[in-house]
Amino acid sequence: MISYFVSFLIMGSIYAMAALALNLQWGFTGLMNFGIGAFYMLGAYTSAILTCPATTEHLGGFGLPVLIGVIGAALVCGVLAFLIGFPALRLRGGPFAIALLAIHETLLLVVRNESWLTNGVWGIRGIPRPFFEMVNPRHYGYLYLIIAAGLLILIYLAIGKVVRSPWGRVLRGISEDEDLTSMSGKDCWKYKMQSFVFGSMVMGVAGATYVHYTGFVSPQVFNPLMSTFIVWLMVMVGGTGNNRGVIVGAFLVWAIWVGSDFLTDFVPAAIATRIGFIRMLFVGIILGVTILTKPQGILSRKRLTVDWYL
Amino acid sequence: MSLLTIKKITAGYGLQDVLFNVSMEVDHGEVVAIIGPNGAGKTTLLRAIVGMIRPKTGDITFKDHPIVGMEPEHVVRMGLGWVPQEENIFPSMTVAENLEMGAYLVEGDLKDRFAEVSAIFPALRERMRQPAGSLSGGQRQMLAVARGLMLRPDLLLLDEPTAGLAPNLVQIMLGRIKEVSDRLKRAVLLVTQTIDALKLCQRGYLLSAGEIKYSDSTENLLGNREVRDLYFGGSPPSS
Amino acid sequence: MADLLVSGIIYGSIIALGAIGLTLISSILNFFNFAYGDLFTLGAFVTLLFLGLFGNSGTIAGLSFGWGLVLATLLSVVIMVVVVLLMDRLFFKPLRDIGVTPLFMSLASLGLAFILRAIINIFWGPEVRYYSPAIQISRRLPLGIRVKPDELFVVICALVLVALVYMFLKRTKMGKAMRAFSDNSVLAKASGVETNKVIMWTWVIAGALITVAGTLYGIQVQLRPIMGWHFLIPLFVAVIMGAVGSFWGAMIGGMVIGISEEMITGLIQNTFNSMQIEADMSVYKPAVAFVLVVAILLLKPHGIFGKREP
Repeated sequence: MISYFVSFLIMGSIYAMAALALNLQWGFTGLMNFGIGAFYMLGAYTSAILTCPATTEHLGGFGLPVLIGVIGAALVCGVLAFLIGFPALRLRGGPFAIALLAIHETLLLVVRNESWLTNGVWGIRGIPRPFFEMVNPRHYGYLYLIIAAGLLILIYLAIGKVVRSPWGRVLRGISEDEDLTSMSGKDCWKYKMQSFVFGSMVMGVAGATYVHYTGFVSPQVFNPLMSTFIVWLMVMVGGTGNNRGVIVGAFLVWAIWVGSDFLTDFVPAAIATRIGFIRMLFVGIILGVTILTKPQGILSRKRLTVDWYL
Repeated sequence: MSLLTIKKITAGYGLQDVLFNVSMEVDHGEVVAIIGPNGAGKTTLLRAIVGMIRPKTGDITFKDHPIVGMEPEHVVRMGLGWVPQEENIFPSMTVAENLEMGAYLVEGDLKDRFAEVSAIFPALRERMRQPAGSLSGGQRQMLAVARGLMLRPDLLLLDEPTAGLAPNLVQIMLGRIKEVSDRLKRAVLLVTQTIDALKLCQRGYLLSAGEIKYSDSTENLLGNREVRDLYFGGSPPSS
Repeated sequence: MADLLVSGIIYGSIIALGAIGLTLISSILNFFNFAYGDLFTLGAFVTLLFLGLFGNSGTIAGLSFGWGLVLATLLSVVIMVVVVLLMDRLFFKPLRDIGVTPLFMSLASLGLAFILRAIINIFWGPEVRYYSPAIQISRRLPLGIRVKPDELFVVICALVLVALVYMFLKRTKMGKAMRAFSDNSVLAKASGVETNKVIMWTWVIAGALITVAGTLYGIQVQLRPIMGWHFLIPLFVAVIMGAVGSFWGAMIGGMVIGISEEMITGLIQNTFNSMQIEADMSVYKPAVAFVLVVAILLLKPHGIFGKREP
């Protein structure tokens, strides 16, 4: 029971990291990124490949320490974000969202198909866990929770500091009114790129944190629902632009998702094979109702409404 | 009985109020001006009348019907036309289609109305099949006003119809508006910042910072030194 | 090469059909409806459902299907139109009335997409389905083009529908009202156009078009629950490339995307095959779409038929 709870907290922390990253990009900079799962996945696989022992199944065998893996994940994500940012950041709003979605889909297909790199749909096993040998395996969860929570706090503080700085103020200006901000002499493009890259790097770290906990990774985990949409939900539920709210939102939404797992236990065996989808449906409906009744999120500071058609 | 009566309306956008306790009247066949500096709320006032914004307090009555809270599509049905200052045409539709949209609420044949409008703005006649977005600035303004006329509204709200037009076009536009009032006997509520347009009108209201500061006949307004100095750069009125 | 062009045209006409509906929704309802792809899937599957009721008896003139499918499609259109109208009434309209931002609407539609997909998976399961087991043989046309009767039907059907929609938009009063509303909703309202009626007709047309598009895809390829989600990217790219709200833009954008995706991935595939490199390039279609949309938007930021600023 307790181990289940610890696992919940660890995954919640990982999602909270991703949510903070999205909040930076969307809540503070106004970037409608519907492809965050791409960076989450990229960070996960990069760290896995860097740290795994040698194997014929896929690229890897560098056997590097976990810390290098995590840093590598962040760097690779940063570089990819930088490269994508060049064309993609010229787009705004809806087109930007779709471009990022296309990136995610493409990356998913690459991971699934290029087995020489990633072992395709079979995934990568045996990803090393940090300090695993030092602790009794039964207590490893607690140790990892400390690591994950520690990372989360670090990221929260880092983002918080950055957002309160003059740099952060420009970001907020961009998200409120980009044209106005650029007219006051700020190179918006540079700020958007920095926010995009930094956010993507944090997502990469979240992905790396994920694989070093589970010891295994496969493309199924990174479908758009579980790696993009759920994070968006967390940000919206917690309150756009509010870092503390976003963390609360992450744990709340994750709790609902995990909780729905218990409920599907009561589903008759006949449709048990479709359980995954029933869960999706159930959660989708709950969240749909939440959206309709509380569109501002729980702790939002941002005004989410606009005069329709004006 | 007044055609349009506005009683003490307060209106704005979101939490920001722009108009405070504004009252005014327009009678059948009158041409009335609303003058005032930028940001005074003139455009907001027209939008409140047509129903794009809902006033927070006060009443607006058109043809003895209260219209506060009515959707624009229903206010227009009653015979009230509106020509905004900007974004006042349908750019991807042809000139003819723009005019058709002006008469959207009209059943039956539009030939008479097309003729009427073409007589007032002959420049549009040869351009009927041209996409409105490709018209020059002046032509666009004319189309915008023509569109407003297609409905034969009893009251036409015009928001700075001469703004941005070359001087000769300004005279033409003003001449046309005068025709609309003289020949077609429609009421016009004209928002403007130019003296020439003001001279078309019988009387006017001066709106500043959301409040009506003066309401008087045109001669008196132009004769008022303070009004002239503050809002028309102090140029003496030519008789 | 010619074969690729032909399959590109077929694929492109299906995209164009869907894109026209989507461009109307995007410009009139002012948000990007991410559930549109799953409506594509649902339309195809509802047709399958009705087909199951009528039976697949006989074929028409060399096509792989008979009047049963035609009837099933018509009924499917009716049902789907009801579905989308309900969707608007129960979900999107309340959100509009609250006054949420277009981004929020897009995000909410993304959630709806997952719900729809869950429902499809629950009722029909993940297996691949076909409308008919008949296998078609290509006929030879002039210029050495080989085409199957079904494929010819798909293109002709799509073009006929496109023409019908064009007539509607160009000639009827409601069609003009819709175009006006799409151009300038404020001025349209001030001309007496009723918002509710325009929205209703938009959903009717979009719902009908996407249902037929899904069915045509089912005839041409196959039915899978994920098919619409994958179609979302080419659909959106076509809309954005052509300029949101532009009928011709959607039409041409759809054909361009269809042909490019087929030809570019096909040519690269052929090159790889001849070089004896094993790779499945068809999965990189989303990447082609991404590159295309970025390229076009760099040249013409408002899309090919983007409206000139007034």
